[in-house]
Parts: sequence; structure tokens; C-alpha cells
Amino acid sequence: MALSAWILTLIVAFFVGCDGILDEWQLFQPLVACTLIGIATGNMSAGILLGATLQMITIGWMNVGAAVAPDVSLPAVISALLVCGPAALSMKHGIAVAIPFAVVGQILNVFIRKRMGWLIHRADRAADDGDLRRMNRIHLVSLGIQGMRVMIPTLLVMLISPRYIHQLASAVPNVVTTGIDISVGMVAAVGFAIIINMMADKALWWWLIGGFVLAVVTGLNIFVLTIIGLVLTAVYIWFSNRHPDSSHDSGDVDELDDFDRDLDDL
Amino acid sequence: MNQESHQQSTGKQLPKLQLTDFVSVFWRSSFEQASWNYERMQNLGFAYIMSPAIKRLYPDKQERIAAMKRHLLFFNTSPIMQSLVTGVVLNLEEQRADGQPVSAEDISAVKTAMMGPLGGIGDPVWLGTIRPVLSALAASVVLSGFGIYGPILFFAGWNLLRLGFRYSAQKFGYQRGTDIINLFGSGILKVVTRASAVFGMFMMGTFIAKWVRIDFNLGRISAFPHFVWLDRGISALAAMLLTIICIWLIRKRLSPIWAIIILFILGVLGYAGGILS
Repeated sequence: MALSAWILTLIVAFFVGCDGILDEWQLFQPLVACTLIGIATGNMSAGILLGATLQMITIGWMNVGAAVAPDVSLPAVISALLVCGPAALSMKHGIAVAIPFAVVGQILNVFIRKRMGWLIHRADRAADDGDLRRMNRIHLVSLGIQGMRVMIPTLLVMLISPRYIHQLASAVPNVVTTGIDISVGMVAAVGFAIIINMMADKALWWWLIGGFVLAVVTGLNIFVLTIIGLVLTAVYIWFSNRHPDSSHDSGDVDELDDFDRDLDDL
Repeated sequence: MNQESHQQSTGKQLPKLQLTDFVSVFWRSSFEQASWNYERMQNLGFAYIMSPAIKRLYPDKQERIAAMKRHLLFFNTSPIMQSLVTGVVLNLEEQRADGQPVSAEDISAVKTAMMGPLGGIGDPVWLGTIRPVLSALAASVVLSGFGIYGPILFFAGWNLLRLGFRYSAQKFGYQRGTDIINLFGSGILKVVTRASAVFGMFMMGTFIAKWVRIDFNLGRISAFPHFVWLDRGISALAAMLLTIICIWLIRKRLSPIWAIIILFILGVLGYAGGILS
């Protein structure tokens, strides 16, 4: 790999790491991160394809409230590097590699979030002095630390000889890699399950089943189904907003209380 | 005469927020969570976002120190919804700097009152619906052979929605001030949450049908070649069943990583045993 490709990869890793904590621009989602690493290493199409596959695995991983989900940014960068870079692993190997790095990234993330208290106290001292610029700098330094969280492991992986990585990968028996490749279709269920679990209440299950049955029976293209979903949602909201003004009002309230009780029970 | 000079001096001491401050606050809001910490979560992030406004409104050092300190208190909400809080707080801070009866406690109380409900709405809408739906559509674009357009659709679509929302929420909050709190009771937020949940669940249903696959090695079972038409229905039902099992496992507090590892192991065993192909 040329020097420029090295530097580009590290820059991408840094920004992906920054966005991994920000959760704003979504550079860290595999779809984008793997594509960028693919561009940096000169193997864009492999990066895009790996990104789309990893995206379906990580689709439900989200940091809600104070909970820290398995990391998305580090595995996206490392597997894209191993697949698109000089190690040239196959897609199956790239997917298998992603899971341990998701755990490593999560551990690093929690570690930094805990240690960040130290910087917060320095920000308090900046506030004691009324020094806005120093306070702002502390905020950006912590962003940089989160960028390093992905960049340094990426650098370490880059320093391992690609030939050695390739040998390691080919030492894994074919049964294991093919088995993992087959299970990617099943693993997608985990991500959807997280999302459904977050939103589910009794009435919503019918929407889930409706979407499912419609997709299976008609076999329509996903984009057409999305438009149908949008239309059905609009119709539903329009109807449910027309009724509460009439005598159904109290009924609606009862129903909502039921949902709340269900949610509390869970 | 005396009164006039007083007005002049207050006019100098108490500047209004400028458009540049507003834009700068908006830009900074995309970097809120950089210093997320277990002690006070997004506190420094909020202070960082507010800092152009603090600089403009409080030239006096003691007041500036007080403003920095009150925005370094605990804060945590769904990041994108935070722009609404920022807007309201900008409004309040401007009033306070203008000498209106807005106390520091009022400002902190408004932040605390808004962060809970907004967190409860923002995470399901943005992370539970918009992001999964957009990213799954984008992944479908990739697998339909349009390569780079998938990531571009996801990145551009998400950021247009996010930045558009952040900008208008900040503006809306700033213009309306604490009247925003009335919105919380008005039911509009409930409708938005409901619409997003309904749409999200419908889409999850279609995604399970399209994306979740258990590749049974059906050729092994001799009856199946005669009932090929059953195949689609059966594998769809298996996909739904698998998803329900995963929901159940997650409710039992199994971490998603373990669920994935278990499925990997099942995949390897199934392939070795000839059940999956």
C-alpha cells in the first residue's frame, strides 16, 4: 500500500472515530465508513459491498440514554481495511473479524467515557476563570481522543504483515467461514429485534405483521413497500386524529393507558 | 437626560445575539457528544454549543463565569432533539442578559424539564426509525447493483434531515421561548412519535421478509421438490420466528453480541451437519 493510502486510511479512521461518539454525521455507520476506507485503499466496490453487509448486522446497535452499545466504528474500519487493503481477506473473513472488534471498540469507548471525568474537571476550572476558549479546547481534545480510539488500533493492524494476516485467515477451516457466511442472513434478525423491542406495544405488532405479510405475499420491491408504508402511516394518523374530538376520546385514553401498563410490565 | 444616558450605557453593555452567533451555535451543535462522560454526560457539550452566545451576551466576567458554570451542570438528551433546548435557552439567556426577570435556576429548570421528554421521543424516532429505514434502503440500493449511490443516499438523506431539523428546531425554540413547553402537552409530539413508530414497525416487517434468511438445505428433504411453492412461505415464517426468538432473548437481557455469536455457532454447526447451505 502506498504511503498516501496509509495516511488517507488513518485520516478516515480518525474521523470515523470522532463521529462514533458524536453519533451525528453517521460517517461511522459501516455503509459510509467501509466505503471511505475502500476509497482510501483504492478498492471502493469491495468496501461498499462489505459496508452494506455489515450495516445489516449493526443496524440496531444504538446508544440510547446512557447505555453504550457494541461499537460500530472500529469494526467497520478494521474489517474494511482487511478486506480492501493489502491483506485482501474475503468478505466472510471480514465479517467474522468485525464481531471481536465490536467488543474491543465498546470496551475502549466505555473506558474513555469513564476517564473523561478528568477533562470535565479541567473544564470546570476553565469556567472558574471564565475562559471560554480553554473550555472549548477541552471539548475538542476529548473529540480527538475518541478519534484516536479508532485510529490507533487501525494503525496497529496496519503494522501487522498482510501476508501473516492472510495466512491466519486461511488457517481457519472452511466449515467455520462458510458457516459464518451462511449465518449472516440470520444475524440480521438480531438488529431488527433490538429495534422492535425498543418500540413494541400491542397495536404496533399488527403493523409489523402487516408489513411482513405484504412483503411476503406480494413480493414487491422494497422501495415500493416504503411508499406504501408512508401512505398507510399518513392515512392512519389522519384517521386517528379525526376521532379523538368525538366521543371516542375516553376510549383512546384508556387504550394508551393499557399500552403504558404493558410497557411497565415488560 | 439621565435616563437617556442610562439607556445608552445598557445598550452597550447588553448586546443582542447576532445571526453569526446563531449560525455558530447551530454548527457546534453537530459536535455535542464529543466529551460524553459518565459524570455529567453531555454537560460540556452543551456549554460548548452555548459558548458563542455566552461570549456575546456576557462581556462581564462574573456573569460569564456564572453562565459557563450553569451550562456545565448535568445534561443528557437525544442529541438531535437538543437543538430545541438550545433554541429555548438562547431565548432565555438573551432575556436574562437584557435584565428581564429570568433567574439562573429558571434556565436550568427549563433544560431539565425538556431533556427527559425529548430524549424519550428523539431516540425512537431518529435511531429507531429514520436511521434503520434509511440505512436498510441504502443497503438495498447497493445490493441492487447501484454501488456508490447507496452510501450517498444514506449519508445525504440523513444529514439533510438532521441538519434541517436542527436548524429549524433551534430557530423555533429561540422564537417561541418557553411557550415550547406547551407543545409537550398538546399531543403533537405524541402524534409524531406514533407516526414514526407505526411506520418503523411496518418497515421492520418488510425488512424481516426481505433480509432475514435461514438457508435451509431443502434439497435434502425428499418431499420438498414437489412443494417448491411452499418454500417462500416457509422460509419467511422461519425468518419471523427467528426474529421473535431474538426479541425474546433480548428481553432476557442477552447482549446482541452474544446473540450474534450464538447464531454464528448455529450457522457453523448447521452447515457442518448439512441442514443449512
